[in-house]
Amino acid sequence: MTPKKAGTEGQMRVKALEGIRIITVEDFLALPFATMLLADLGAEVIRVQSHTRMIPWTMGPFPDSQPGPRYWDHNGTYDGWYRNKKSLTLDFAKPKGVQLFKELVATADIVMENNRPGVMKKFGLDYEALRQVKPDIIVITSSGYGHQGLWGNYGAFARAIDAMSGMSNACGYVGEGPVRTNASYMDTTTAWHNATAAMMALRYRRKTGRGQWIDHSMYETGVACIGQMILDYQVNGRTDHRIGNHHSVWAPHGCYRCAGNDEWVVIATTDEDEWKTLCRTMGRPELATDERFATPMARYDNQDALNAVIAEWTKPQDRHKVADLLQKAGVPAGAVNRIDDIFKDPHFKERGFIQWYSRPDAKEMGDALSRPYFGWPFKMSKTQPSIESIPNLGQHNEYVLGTILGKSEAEIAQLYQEGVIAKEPVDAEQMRPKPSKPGTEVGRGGLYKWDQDYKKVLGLKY
Amino acid sequence: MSESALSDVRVIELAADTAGPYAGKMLADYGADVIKIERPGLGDIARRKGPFPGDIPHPEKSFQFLYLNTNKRSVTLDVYKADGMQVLKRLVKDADILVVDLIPSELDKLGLTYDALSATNPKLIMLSISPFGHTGPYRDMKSTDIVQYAVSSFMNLSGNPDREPLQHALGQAGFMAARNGIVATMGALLYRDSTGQGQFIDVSVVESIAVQPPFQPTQYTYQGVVATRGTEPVLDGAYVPCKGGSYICMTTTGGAPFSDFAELLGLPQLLDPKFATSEGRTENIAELDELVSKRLQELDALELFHKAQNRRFVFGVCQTPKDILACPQMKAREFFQTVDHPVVGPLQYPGRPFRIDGTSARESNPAPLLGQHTHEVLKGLGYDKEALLRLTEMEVI
Repeated sequence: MTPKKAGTEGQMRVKALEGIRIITVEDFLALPFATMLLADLGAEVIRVQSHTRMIPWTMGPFPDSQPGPRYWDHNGTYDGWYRNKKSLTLDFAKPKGVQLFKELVATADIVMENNRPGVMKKFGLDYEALRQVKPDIIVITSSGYGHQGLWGNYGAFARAIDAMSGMSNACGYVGEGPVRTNASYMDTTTAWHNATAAMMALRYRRKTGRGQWIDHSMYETGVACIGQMILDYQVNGRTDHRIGNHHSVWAPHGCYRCAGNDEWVVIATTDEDEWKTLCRTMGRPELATDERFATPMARYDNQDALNAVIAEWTKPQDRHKVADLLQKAGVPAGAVNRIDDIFKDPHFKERGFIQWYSRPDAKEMGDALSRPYFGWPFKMSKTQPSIESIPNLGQHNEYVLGTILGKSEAEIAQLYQEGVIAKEPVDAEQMRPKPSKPGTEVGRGGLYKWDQDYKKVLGLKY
Repeated sequence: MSESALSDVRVIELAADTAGPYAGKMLADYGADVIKIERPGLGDIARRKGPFPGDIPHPEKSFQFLYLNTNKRSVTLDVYKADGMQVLKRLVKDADILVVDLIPSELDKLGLTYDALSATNPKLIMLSISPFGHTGPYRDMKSTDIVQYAVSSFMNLSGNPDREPLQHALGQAGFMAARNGIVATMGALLYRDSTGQGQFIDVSVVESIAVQPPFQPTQYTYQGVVATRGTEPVLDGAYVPCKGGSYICMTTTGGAPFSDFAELLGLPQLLDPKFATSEGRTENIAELDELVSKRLQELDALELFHKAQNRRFVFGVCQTPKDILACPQMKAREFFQTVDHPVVGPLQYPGRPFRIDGTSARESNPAPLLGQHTHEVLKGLGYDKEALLRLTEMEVI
């Protein structure tokens, strides 16, 4: 493979994984997020999905909560994870669908899938079958507990794995029960490992010529996040040490209420200077010599009393003002941001963490001409990703079947007619979601507010 | 040495605590030769952080250090002394990857910039992990884990909605930054294989955390909806106590019929028509939650988990390290591996998060003793006995 410059509108970029073809059969989230990263790095990722299964497309969020004419193609959740991939529809329930998949695998480097264990085997598409088609193929299966072992047919969601892996057991308020890390942390954790596994296997194949099957278990990835507790239990017999927002050594260290509804600031002192500066900044220099707080040991032992004093100071103030004041004085502190803060913050804009993408069909869909997305937590000096495309369902059927597999136009037309491939879900109209009003959901299920000015705040144009 | 994915890769790790060391561990566990640079005398700060056996601190006994530094070599080196910096630069000159976690201004002060290092080693991949990254107005802001969590916005999603937001335990910010950095590093390595060109990778810990929550960004940019911490219903995600105090996490959204759920719990009352539809269940949620919560106190969480899985309900149990070490699935997959450390002795360690051919699934070398490989590595650079003695007396190594 020889990396070459890839042309995109108005810019040229060099891709780290140029020339690598990955086929993915994926659903929520541990795999789609991983193949997104691989596509970002420049691999050709072909997402194969059935047009006969509607569930994933109905969840939104839709632009302005209004499902559009092709609502399955304008859907925030999937737009976020589809980027830079290609979309091929195939109905595996039809023998031709399975056959075409095998033909495609014969041209590929890696196949990745995260269906419930057994599903691909049922279609005759497990590792053993695929290596007959392509002897050095790399197959990565990602599932809750792994295909191999006693629990090979068990299903999982991120939250179940958060519990099973001991992650929740480690998190929580002091003296209280376990708390989930939330926001699908176990899915994304698994995703980064899936992407790493793919690249390691590629490098192994490059050196040895051999492919392999990697059977990744979310459960094991979760346990890898709490390694020191696994060791600690064996020697000290402890099963939990939840310390909430405390630090293991330093105090004060915590999260304090500010003015407004659910507004908070964190303050984290890690030495004497920072503590004394905090006292001065609060206008309470006498605290530094108060015997309850005069030494680090005393502060640690009396941190509940100390936290009450600090909370009294922060409570009437704006969270950003407190954080700025302390940062300027030299005390580690930060406002507890919400998602909208990240899009407004100059730091993330300046670093290119916020990336805008314009869909070519935005105007005809009545959608904003361009929308912002989160980019990458890394900046690579030579092979930095960009958002080049977000595919519509089946958008690359012709490219994959015609250009890659050499099918004629007549053959492709026949496949459409037989329902082996399609450009829209079979039950698109029956399943059409109703327009929702996000405002009515606020206060339930973890929604803080409906910011009706968001388009102005973000600068969306129509 | 057997051929593995990274057996030809040499890594210099100038990093401490969690983020840089976990990145180094990922590379070391899959076959790279990782040389960890530690401060003479003190070493990685993790050596001074608990937990320790019996809570008695000892630089070779920190469980965090033992876990995060398997399969590495340790070289003590004071990079703030000119001769120490000289040794580091000679090591980096022949290395494939440099992992650093010093803040950008510190790297500048030490002259450890990619421009300077790549002048003598254009194939070098430099992975720099810092709290806010090398650019932007917050570049030099003071922070710790909890500050990074807060600024990232993930902290606001975690914890009880009636209480303060909660940071995640055990330095997860560092784990996230390490995993994200390794994805970029592996991409850079494959790119270098093809082109011979190294590159600089700037990872921001705050962005590493911010990028994890998957739904919240587009909920805002498509709808204007701003997420926060929520309360989960008993039937969909809450942690509910069972017999003996274990917690179960139930979901009924996997597609199996609700009548099966009633049967699974042995609660015929749930077959009442008022609970038959999801609207009905929402309307009568208080009664439903009470019925189910009460019944769960009579049931064993793990038994219920297996029964549920066999009926295709996705449940989870809040397990402790004790439960996990005894877990038959972990045993069947031989996930844990025995690592025998010369000071702490043999213990079961979490294995590699995915197994890959060419890398032993069952064996790992223990974390190195402080400076265990200093002489071996420096001799390899051509320092003789006398030079090593002088460097030791000057407290460079």
